[in-house]
Amino acid sequence: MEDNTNKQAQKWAQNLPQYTPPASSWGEIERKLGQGKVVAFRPQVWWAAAASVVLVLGVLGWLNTQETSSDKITYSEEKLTKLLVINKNDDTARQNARIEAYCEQKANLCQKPEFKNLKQQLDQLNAAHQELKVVVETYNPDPNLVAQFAQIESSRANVLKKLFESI
Amino acid sequence: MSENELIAGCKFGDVRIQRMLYDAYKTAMYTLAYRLTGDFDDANDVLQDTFLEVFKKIGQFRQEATLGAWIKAILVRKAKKKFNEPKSWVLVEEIPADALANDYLNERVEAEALEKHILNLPEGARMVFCLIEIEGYTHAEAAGLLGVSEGTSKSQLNYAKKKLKHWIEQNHGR
Repeated sequence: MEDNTNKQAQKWAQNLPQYTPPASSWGEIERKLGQGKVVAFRPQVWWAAAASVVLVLGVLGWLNTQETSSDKITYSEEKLTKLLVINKNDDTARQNARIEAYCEQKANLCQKPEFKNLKQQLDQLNAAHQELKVVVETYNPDPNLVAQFAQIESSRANVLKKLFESI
Repeated sequence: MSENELIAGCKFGDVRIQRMLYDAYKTAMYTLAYRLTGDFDDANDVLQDTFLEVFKKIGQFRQEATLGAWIKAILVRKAKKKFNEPKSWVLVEEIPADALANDYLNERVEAEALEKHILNLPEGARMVFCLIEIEGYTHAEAAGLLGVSEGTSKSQLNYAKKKLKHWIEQNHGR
């Protein structure tokens, strides 16, 4: 990772000496940064977490609205195939791959508004899932954030279920 | 740890991750800083200023370039600030293209000796030479980083090559 500029230096230049900065250099940088200790969780993280919570609440609210007016949604009577069976334990990439594979075969069904809406919700939840996953894995934050992560997972499962019911 | 994980950790202000990023790039960046400034103390100042800006502005890094290229661009601008005086950019004459072949650099010149000659170049010529011949930037990229025209970049490179060729022929024979 020393040099990722993708530039092709001259062959002779590769033999030129390399220099290591003084050991005190990092200490100076750290001092100037004003960070004498490890910062485990900064305010920006709380903003990110708060934004994720707002997103989740928004999606849950929208889902609730959809449930109360579910009689307006029409469902196709397509025969379910093996392609539709998604294991909830699959990771996001595999789930998306299966959805895309299905849509390649049943393009007309995937163009339906209800399918597209649910897919959009799933994408938003996937994004929130990824964001919180990084925070949870990297910083092992407080139980509230972990609980929110679990809530997102539950919502994702719910949307996935609805997505396949819609087709 | 991947580059994305390093970036994410630095965005959260995690000093352990900042240290890992510094360790990953410190040698390449300090070496370039030394060649651009020609002085170890100046190189150290440039290195520190560079990483302070990297950690401060990592949230603005859009990954349009690699992380290394982004850090390097910051470093070149910091080094350039050390030499804002016009005297640093020598006036040079046009040199025929056939005088500029750099095959002689591949010949029997020891790396340390070549390094010494490079460091003896005037600041402007040295910076352009380092960016284009060692780091692989184009004239347009180097000119953009140094805040000069492409014509200036070309003439400074020509001057640097002519000087190096002269010194090598004088000291190492052909």
